[in-house]
Amino acid sequence: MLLPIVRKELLQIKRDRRMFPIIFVAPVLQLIILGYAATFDVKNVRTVVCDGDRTQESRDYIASYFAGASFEKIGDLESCREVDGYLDRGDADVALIVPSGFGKSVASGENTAVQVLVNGTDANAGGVGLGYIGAINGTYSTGIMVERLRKAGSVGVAIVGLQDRVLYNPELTSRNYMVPAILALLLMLVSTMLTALAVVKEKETGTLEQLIVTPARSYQIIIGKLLPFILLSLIDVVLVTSVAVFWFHVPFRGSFLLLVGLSLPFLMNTLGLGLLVSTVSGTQQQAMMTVMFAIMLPFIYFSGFVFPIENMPRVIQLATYAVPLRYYLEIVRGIFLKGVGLEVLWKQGAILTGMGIFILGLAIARFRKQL
Amino acid sequence: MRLLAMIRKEFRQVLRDPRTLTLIIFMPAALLLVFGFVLSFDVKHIKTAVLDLDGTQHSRRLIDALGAVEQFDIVGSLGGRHDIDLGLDRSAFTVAVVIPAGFGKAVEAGQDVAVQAVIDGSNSQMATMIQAYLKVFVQTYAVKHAGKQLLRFGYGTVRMPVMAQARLWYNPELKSSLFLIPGLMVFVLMITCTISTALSIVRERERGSIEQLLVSPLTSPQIILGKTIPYIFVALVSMVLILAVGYAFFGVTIKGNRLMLLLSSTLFILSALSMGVLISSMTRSQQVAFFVAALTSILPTFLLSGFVFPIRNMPLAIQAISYVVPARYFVEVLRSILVKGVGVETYWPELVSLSVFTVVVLAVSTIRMSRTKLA
Repeated sequence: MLLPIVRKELLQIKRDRRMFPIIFVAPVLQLIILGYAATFDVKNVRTVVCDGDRTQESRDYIASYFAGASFEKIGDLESCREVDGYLDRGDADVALIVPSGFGKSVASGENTAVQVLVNGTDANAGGVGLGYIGAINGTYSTGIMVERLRKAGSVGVAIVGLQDRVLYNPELTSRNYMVPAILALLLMLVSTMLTALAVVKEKETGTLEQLIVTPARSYQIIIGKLLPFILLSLIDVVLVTSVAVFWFHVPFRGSFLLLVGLSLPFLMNTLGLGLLVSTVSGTQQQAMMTVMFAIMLPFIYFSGFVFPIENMPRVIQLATYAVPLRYYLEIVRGIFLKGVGLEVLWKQGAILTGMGIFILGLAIARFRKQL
Repeated sequence: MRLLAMIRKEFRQVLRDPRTLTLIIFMPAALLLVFGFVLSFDVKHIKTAVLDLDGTQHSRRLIDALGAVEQFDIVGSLGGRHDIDLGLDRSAFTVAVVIPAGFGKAVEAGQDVAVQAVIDGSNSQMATMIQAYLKVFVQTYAVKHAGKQLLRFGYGTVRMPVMAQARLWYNPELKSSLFLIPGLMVFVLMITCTISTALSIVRERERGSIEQLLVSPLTSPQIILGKTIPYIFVALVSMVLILAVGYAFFGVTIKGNRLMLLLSSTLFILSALSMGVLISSMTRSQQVAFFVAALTSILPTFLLSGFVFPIRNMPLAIQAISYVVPARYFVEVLRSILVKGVGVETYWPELVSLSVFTVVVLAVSTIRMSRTKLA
C-alpha cells in the first residue's frame, strides 16, 4: 500500500514544472551567490597615514604596518586634519598618526607614542584592525627594546615570543566556515518548505480527502508523502556538497557517508516541522509565511549560523539548545573542516534523533487527527 | 482632491485590517527585540585550555596572567599534547596554549623562548582575533618581564618603547551591536513594507476590487500614491518604535540630525513600498506576490546591503548587484546618522542613489499600472 503512494507523490512532483527548478536549480544558485557574498574576511584594512615626523625611524615604523597583507595604504596625508574627513566618509578604516619627534625619541632611547584612530562603526573590521595594530606595534617595540638591550651590553634578558598554529582552516578564509553552513540552511529550507506546501496544496485542492477514502492507512499516507522528500533532500545534499567542494574548494575532510547518514535525523526534524506547519495553515501562503518567519528566521539567528553562540546572553544560549539546526551545523562543519567522525558527532546525532522523533511524532499525531 | 479621497479610503482600509496593521507596526520592533540580542561578533569568552609542560613558577605566573585577560576564559588544563587535537576536534575549547618544557629555565638563563598556541581556525574571524589577542598578551608579558629583569640589574624602568594609543571613533567600546542594529532596523523595515504593500494590492486584485479603482476617474499615479501614502505613515510609526527599542535595549542613540533621519527614513520607506507596488503589478496571486517579495527583499537585504557582510570584500559581479538593493544605501545613511553623527555632506551620494532608485521603480510600476488600466 505504501509503494503506490510514494509512486503517486513522485509522479506529482515530476509533473509540477515549477518544482524542478525550486528543488534542484535554486539551491545550487543560492549556494553560489551566498558563498560569494557571505564573507567576513578582513583583509586590506584601509589605512591613511599622516607622518608628522618624516625621519628614517618613522618611515620604518610605518613600513612595518604594510609589510603584510593586513593593511592597505590608501593615502599619505600632508595635514593630519584631513584624517577626520576620511573616517567620517567611511573611506578609511584606520588612521595612523606619527607625531613629530618620534624618530628622535626612538633614537635617543626614550619612550614615545603614536596615535591610531580606528573607525568603530564596523565593529568586526575595527576589532580585527585593532588586534593587528597591537600585534604589529608590539613586534616593532620588542625589536627596538632588544636592540637597546644589546647596545647597553646587557646579555641575559629573555624575550618571550609566540608561535601559533591554526588548525582546520590555516588560511583563515571565512568561506570555508560559511559554505558548509549554507548547505545546512538550504537543506532545511527545501525540505521544510516542500513538505509544508505539498500537504497544504492537497488540502486546498481537496485531494487530501480522496486520499483519506482510499484503503491506505493514515501512517502509510504520511510516510508515502515524506519518503520522496527525503530522497529529494538527499539528492540536494549531494548536489550542494559537490558545488561546495568543486566550485568553492572548501576542504572536505570527513566521511561523505557519515554526512548523508547524519542528515537523516536532521531531515526527520525538518520534515516534521514542515508537516506541523501544514497542520496549522489553511493556505499555501500561510504555510510559506509560517515557515519563513516562525522557522527559518529564528533558526538562522539562533543556530550559530553567523553569530557565535558563545557571545549570546545566557538565556538565549539556553534557547539555542532547542534549535535542531544548531546540532546539524556542528555536524556539517565538523565533517567538512575537522574531518571528525562518529566518535565526536554521536552526541549531536543522538540529540537530533531524539528531537526528530518528538517533532515528527507530534506532527503525525496532529496530522492524523485532522485526517 | 481625488487623491485625498483615495488616501482616506486606504487609511480606512488599513485601519480595518488590524492584522496587517499590527504586522507593520509591531513586527519590526518585535523582530529587532528578539534578534538584537543575538547579533554580536564580539569575541569575548574565548574557551582556552592550557598545557603546562614546564611546571615552574614562571609558567604558572604566565598562565595566571593569561587567565586575567578579559577575553580568555581558561576552561581546563591538559595532561598531554594529544589532548589538544582531541579537545579541538570536540570543540571543547577554541585555543590551546602550550608552555614548553624548559620555559622557566630559559627565562632564568635569559634565553629567548616561545610560548606555543594551537588555534581552531574553522571560524576564521574568531581565529584572527584570537591570534591577535594572544600576540599582544605575549608581547606585553615579554616587555614586562624584560623590564623586571633589567630593574634587577640596576637599570631604570622599561616600558613599551613605542605605545600605540588606539582610539575608537564612533563606537568607543567597539560593541558590534552599534554596527549591526541599524542594519537590522533596515532589514525588518524593508521586509514588512515590501511584503505588506505587495500583498495589499494583490489582494484587491484577487477580490476584484481593483477594477473598481481602475474604472474610477483616478489616474494611475494617484492610485499608486493613494496606496502608498497611508503606509508611509504607518511605517514611520513603526520606525519610531524601532528606534525606541534600539535605544532602550541596545543603547543605540541618535547622534546626528533628527530631521535628516526623518527625511531619509521616509525616502527609504517610499522605496521599499514602491518595490512592493512593482511586485504587485507583476503578480496575480498573493502567494506568488509573497514569494517574489520575500525573495527580492529578504535575501538581498540580508546579504547585499552591508548589514552583516562587508560589501567591498565581495567579488565585483556581486557588488554590482548590490547597487540595486535599496537597503544598501539606507544602511549606510542610518549608520552615519545614528552611530557616527555626521552631517549630510558625507552621505548625500547614498540619498541621491536612493531617490533615483525610488523614482525609477515608481515610474515603472505606474506605467505597468496604466497598461492594466487600458487593458
